[in-house]
This record gives sequence, structure tokens and C-alpha cells, in this order.
Amino acid sequence: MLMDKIKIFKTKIKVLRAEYEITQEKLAEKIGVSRGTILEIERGTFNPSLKLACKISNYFGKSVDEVFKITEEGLADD
Amino acid sequence: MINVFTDVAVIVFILVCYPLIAVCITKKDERQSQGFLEAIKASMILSTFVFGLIFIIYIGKGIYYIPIVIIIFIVDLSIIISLLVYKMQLNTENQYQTFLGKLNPTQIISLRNICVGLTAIFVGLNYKNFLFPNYKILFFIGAYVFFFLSCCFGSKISYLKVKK
Repeated sequence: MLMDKIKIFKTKIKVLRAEYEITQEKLAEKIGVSRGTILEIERGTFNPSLKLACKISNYFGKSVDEVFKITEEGLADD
Repeated sequence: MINVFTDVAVIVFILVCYPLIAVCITKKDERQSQGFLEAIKASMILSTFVFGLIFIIYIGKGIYYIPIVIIIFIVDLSIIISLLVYKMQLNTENQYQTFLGKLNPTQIISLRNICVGLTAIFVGLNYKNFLFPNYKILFFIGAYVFFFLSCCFGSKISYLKVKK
């Protein structure tokens, strides 16, 4: 019984990773999650908690809204 | 013969317990924790369904108890399902899409209505059992299965927004 993968977040993690020249493994290790979690967040198929979003944003020295963006579709669902 | 089944059930139980314990004691991040909870939910729903189905069949035969071997098999099944769902949830290579995920809201509502209708028909046939006295158990099972399916579709509807 799988949950639907709802694309709500758009994230800049991939761009920021390229800027900082850091791999998914390295980022996952720094944040304290698995590589799969970073991959799913980048794909937009997993919505991270606020805590995790803050951790990721802080790592890149940005605010949460600079790294994550909620789409119109996601806003309409609320 | 019953002893052989009991032995098999216990051996399977021991075999599936090891990976379950390994999954339970592993430190998880939030995606893995979410996947684990989803897996437990799926296994609980399916094992309750199977237990109910077996219970109905036994009642139909006039037996009002369930042997321990059946209970062990249901527990085995529950653990196997939870492990499979957990692995599927964590898989990042292939995105599995369930049958329900492929349907649009209108189709889900139609399916739910069909299942509710079929449940009502089976309940009605069961109530009017003098028409088909030999098939009473089949009607009861049919009503149970379609009621379960209508509940599954109904639970899915609550997450959907229907276009007006």
C-alpha cells in the first residue's frame, strides 16, 4: 500500500550542490540522513520536515525559502 | 499433518523475524521512519483482512475457533508484507506506482460505488438465503471482500479533490 508521490516542493539543492561541489553522499552524511532521502528531496517525491529543511538550508548558508519553493499545485491542495 | 504445518509456520516465523529485527534496530532518518510506518500500516490492514476472511470461512463451516497454526501463518504473512512494503518504500531506483495511484478521482469514486453496490447485493442475497441456501458462505465472503475494497477506495477519496 504505497502513498502517492505528490510533487509539491521545488528545490534548489541540486544547483547548490553543484555550486558547492558536493556529492549527494557527502551532503547526506553532513545532514545525517541517507543518500536516498537527498535524492528523493531533489526529485520532489519526498517532502522533508521543517527540521530537515532547516538543516539543509543552514548547511548551504541560505534561508529555507531560498532553497525550497512550494508550487502553485501544492498551495491549491491546502 | 497439522504438526507439519505448525513446524513450517514456526520455521517461517523464525526466518522472517531476523530481517524484521534488523530493520527495527537500524537507525532511521525521517524518510525511512515514514516508510516503516507505511509498511506497518499496510501489513496491519492486509493481515486483518486475511484474518477476517479466514474467520468467516471457519464460521461458515460451523467452527467457532481458529487454530494457532493459522494465527502463526497470519503473523508470518504480516511480517513478510511489512518487509516488502518497507523495501518498496525505500527503493529510489524504480518508482512503484500502485493500481490506485494510476486512477483519476472520478474512476476511484466509480469503483467505490460499484463495490458498495456489490456489497449491498451480496448482503441482500445472504439475507434472502432461502433462494440459494448452498451458497450462503460465498455471498458472505463476497460481501466481506467488496466491503473491504469499498473501504480501500473510500479511504483514497478523502485525499483527492474532485473537479467540479
